Amino acid sequence: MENESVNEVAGLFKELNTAALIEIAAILLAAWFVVWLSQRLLPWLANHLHGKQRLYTLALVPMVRILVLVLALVLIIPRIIEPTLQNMVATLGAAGLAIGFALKDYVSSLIAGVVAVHEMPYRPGDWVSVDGVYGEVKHIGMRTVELVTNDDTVIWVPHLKLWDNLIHNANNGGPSLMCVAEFFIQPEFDAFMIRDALEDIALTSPYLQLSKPIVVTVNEEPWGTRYRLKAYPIDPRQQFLFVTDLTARGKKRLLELEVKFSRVETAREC
Amino acid sequence: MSESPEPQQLQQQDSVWQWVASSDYRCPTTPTVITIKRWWHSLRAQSGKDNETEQPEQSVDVLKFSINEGLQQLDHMLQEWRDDDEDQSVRWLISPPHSPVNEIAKTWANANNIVDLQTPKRDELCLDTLNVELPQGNHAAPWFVPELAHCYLRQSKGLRWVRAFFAQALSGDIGKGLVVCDSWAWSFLRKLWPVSQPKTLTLQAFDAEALQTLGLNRDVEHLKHLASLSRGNLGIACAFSGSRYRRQLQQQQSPFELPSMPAETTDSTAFILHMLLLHRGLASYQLHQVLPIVSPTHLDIELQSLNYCGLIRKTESQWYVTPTGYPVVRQALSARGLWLDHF
Repeated sequence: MENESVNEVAGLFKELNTAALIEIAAILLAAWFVVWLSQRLLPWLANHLHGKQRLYTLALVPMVRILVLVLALVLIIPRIIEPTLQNMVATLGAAGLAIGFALKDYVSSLIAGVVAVHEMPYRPGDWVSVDGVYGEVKHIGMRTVELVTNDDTVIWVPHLKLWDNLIHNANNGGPSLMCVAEFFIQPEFDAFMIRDALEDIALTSPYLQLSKPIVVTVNEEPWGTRYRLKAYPIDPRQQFLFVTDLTARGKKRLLELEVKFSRVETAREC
Repeated sequence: MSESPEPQQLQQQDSVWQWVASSDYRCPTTPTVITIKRWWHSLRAQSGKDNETEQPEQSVDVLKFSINEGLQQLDHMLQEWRDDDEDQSVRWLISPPHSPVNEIAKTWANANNIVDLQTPKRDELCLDTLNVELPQGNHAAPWFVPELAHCYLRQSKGLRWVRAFFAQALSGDIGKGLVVCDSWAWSFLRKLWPVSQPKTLTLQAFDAEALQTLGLNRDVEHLKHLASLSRGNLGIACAFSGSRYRRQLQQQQSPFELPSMPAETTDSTAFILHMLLLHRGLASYQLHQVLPIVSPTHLDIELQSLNYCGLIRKTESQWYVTPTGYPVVRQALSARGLWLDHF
């Protein structure tokens, strides 16, 4: 009885001779080489481009990798297993059991990585916020996504986060990323005069994407009036310098207009 | 004068100097057949099958032209508007960098005794004491603005005069006038105050046939490349008309010898070049006014580097993009996604 079971399991697999092993090794090597090459060439090319072209080129990296891996699996499996329905069900069932117990989180991340390539909640070049971390997507790996923050810190976020976390994508695959510079002004000053001055601040910034609108919104707070100057930089990578430019020049202009800034009193615990 | 320039265009068909609505500007391109042919020659040369070692052709004669015909055509174009006392509208001439539009317009204004409108100096544009009110026009006498690009600064206080000017000029409060504006400045100012396209005129692009008609003796392929490189801008075509021309493309992407962008091209480099084009030249201290985000030391380093590359030159304390550097600069700004002109 035991011998029969062993024979049945053994019957799933083909006899692996030297030629088959060499073929599998060659396929794996070729797949690894193509993935390695695409992960170097495409980002290099993207760094020589700007705007949309850069983002689209970066988005090709995970696509190419997934295609190459699927192709490699399609070529390897028939060389190991006799591809009948019965064999496939038996093999996948056994693999599922092993994965369910031992490698649940790892495989969940791998599957989320495949879903991420399909649904594209983030692509290389996007600016995303996951779990309170904000940064540029530099690389989408099989298990993790690599973010680089404005402080040049690299953070690896497992794709697993995709299942139950909110993902905030600031530019969603495009070159348009809205930036907001905030100004806190005492409430007695003319809001329209300040709005006009702030609009000119945005219009005269060298970072401004002129094809996009400039908007100033105003709302009252207990400590004064909050002005939010919203505009788009030419390239999402310029967002921090753009906000710096808007804030520094906005402050200078408002001081010239003799506007007084609000001082927010922090609440004291009794 | 009617708003549409079509009737005049039909009468100008025999001249290479055609004034058209700026939206009708047609930029010459290099025909695909010529491009493929050149790449084929290059491949043959690289594989050793084509043993001809090419020496770049040095052109001895450079293109020189007289603006008289352009002046006549402009006079013909504006004649009806000039003579119609009821028409108090403003006419706009858009001038790509180094094109002869400014010179023609100035000569035309002088010939018609049209006086310059009093505009503030650049250094006065950001002063709190700036007076933005223009004198109410004597409706019988038109006025002339020789370069609107010199009447604003892309700085938080530098748009007040030009905004007031648009408001007063387009409402008819100051009478009829002719305004010349650089194409880059115009592209930016249109975001500030859109003006209807039919009232904006420019010189139609000078294609290969037009360059030949003006007396430039080169073969068709050379002329087409020249027209394409200059984007139909006669000033740029003149600057390259005497430069070396290569028939086979090897390492270089252009058949003409072009200056290169600095090895370290940053956002600051692009912003400096963009500001020089938007304002049709600026002094160093004015550049610092419009680009406070770039430190003065870094600004000077960038200016020296661009000057060394032959992309900019200083004339009477003002930095300008050179005619030979212009195609390279335009391409670099386009690649970085900066706001371009339409010519």
